[in-house]
Amino acid sequence: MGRILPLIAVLLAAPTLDYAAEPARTFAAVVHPSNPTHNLRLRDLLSLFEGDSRQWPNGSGVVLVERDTGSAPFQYLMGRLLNTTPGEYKRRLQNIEYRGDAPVSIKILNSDSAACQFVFNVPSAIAIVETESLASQACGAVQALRIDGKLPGEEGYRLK
Amino acid sequence: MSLRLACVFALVFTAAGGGVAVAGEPPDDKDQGSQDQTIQKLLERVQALERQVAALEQARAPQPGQALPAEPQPTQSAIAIAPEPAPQQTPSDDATPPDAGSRFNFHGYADAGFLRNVDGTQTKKFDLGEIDLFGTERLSPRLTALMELVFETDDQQQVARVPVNVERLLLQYRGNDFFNVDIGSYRTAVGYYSTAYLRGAWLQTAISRPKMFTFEDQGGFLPLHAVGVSINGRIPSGDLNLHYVVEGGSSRNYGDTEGFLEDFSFNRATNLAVYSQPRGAPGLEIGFSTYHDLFSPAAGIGLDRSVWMVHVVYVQGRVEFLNEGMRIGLSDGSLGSGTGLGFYSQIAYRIASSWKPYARVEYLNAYGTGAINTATARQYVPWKTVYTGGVRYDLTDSVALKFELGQESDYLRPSYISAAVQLAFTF
Repeated sequence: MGRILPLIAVLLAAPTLDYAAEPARTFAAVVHPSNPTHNLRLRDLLSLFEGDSRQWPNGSGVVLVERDTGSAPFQYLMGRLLNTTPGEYKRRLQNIEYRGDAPVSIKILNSDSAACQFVFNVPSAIAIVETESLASQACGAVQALRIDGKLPGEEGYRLK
Repeated sequence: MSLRLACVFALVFTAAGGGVAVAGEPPDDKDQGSQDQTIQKLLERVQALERQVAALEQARAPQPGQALPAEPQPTQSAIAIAPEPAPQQTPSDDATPPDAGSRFNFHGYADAGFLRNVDGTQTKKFDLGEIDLFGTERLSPRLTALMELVFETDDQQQVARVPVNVERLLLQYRGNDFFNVDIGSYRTAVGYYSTAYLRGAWLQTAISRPKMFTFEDQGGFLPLHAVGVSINGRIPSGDLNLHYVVEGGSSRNYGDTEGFLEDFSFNRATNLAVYSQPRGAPGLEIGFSTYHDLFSPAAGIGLDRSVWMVHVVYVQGRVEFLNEGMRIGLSDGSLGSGTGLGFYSQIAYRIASSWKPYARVEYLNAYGTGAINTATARQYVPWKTVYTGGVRYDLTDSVALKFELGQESDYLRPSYISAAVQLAFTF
């Protein structure tokens, strides 16, 4: 028993420890400049990426733009934001479709610039990118959302 | 090319206009020199514009990773061409909208495993599970065809008799968030588990389903399939986020008079389900359903059947906590009535990145009056308690390995312990 308890503790803490090793980064949710949504509650952002909400308030369908699995935005999305794994995430999204609901539209791209360009091309898309990418030319053409009223860099901003 | 020609024509006309403006006066040498300079500048400008047009046309050609932002497209068309739910897609640096042709979606599910004493029969065997083929085709922005075929492989003594089960065949009309219609063969929204985990072993955490959700053709007593119409959508309710499902139909074998005595059938089936997914508590779902039909367990017998279900479910992050209660009633004026009360509770918690241990407890008690007395009721539903524990390990994003132990207590036989290993995958 004395050996099992520490093992259980390590297993429970393992994902947290993995992420704690990552350098501190902040992230931004970006949408098309014409998107009338300028502020999202964090739980609404989660709801979008979990597939529970698949429409913007104006009725247009949401297209999720995600980064490739090895990227910092994807790891942040899985490990911190959704607290899930790529496998469980896949199971969740397939289950939505399997239940007969409209499938979740996802585009996976391999750079923040490509993600921003896609968001610029598809007005109903939303992407999570690193905040430092906002200075790039491609991301300059899209708008970063306020999360719970805060923009990246402001005190109390939660996507970090 | 048209842009280039337009620029050239515009400049030529501008130059010609300038010529016309001065045509009424004889040109002197000074004017002639000025015109030459103007023409020279215009020619240089034409050449510069041609170079710009050529550069723009080159930039507009597909160049992965270097495409400049295009003009925003209408929202509707953007959605119409991005229907692909593909988290398994190969990462792309193509920042253009997805292909407009990707309207067909297909998923397959299958499993194989090893069973020991699963039905209390001391059998030890390798087992090929089900092959579940699921596909949808978007016919128009509002119409979708959905089909699910299940090959049940548990009895292949005669290969030609492997049952092919048309699990669902639906024409779906997606009006808006508040009004959607499914017509065809659907899964009844009786309780939570039936529609949350329809088939496909890979989708559900455990190997076994809660006993009360056993399929009809495997001895289950809940009506999980019907043919008819199902209407569903959201109810305007703010943060309460209420949803409704209204269904009306018959069983697939109703009216098939050539069936055997044990072919259960039902008709006039109506079901109403209401559930809430509160926005303030992501992952929480609370709801109930009330189902009524005319149930025929044997030719010439028609029983009024009512099924009431309530559920409280929390699935979020690492936690999966499912709880459902059930009351089923069967009655006939002359034969008497039978009642079943039951519940199950299942909890699972993901540890590390791939391990998900789970445990489940189930209970059911059946009793009756008149001809449908308690003994008769328990002939149909013999089990009393089931304890299940196991672990799911995700080998990859598409393959899961599960181990499970269970103990079942029946009214009609001694309790027994079963074990199972399952490899479930999606493709």
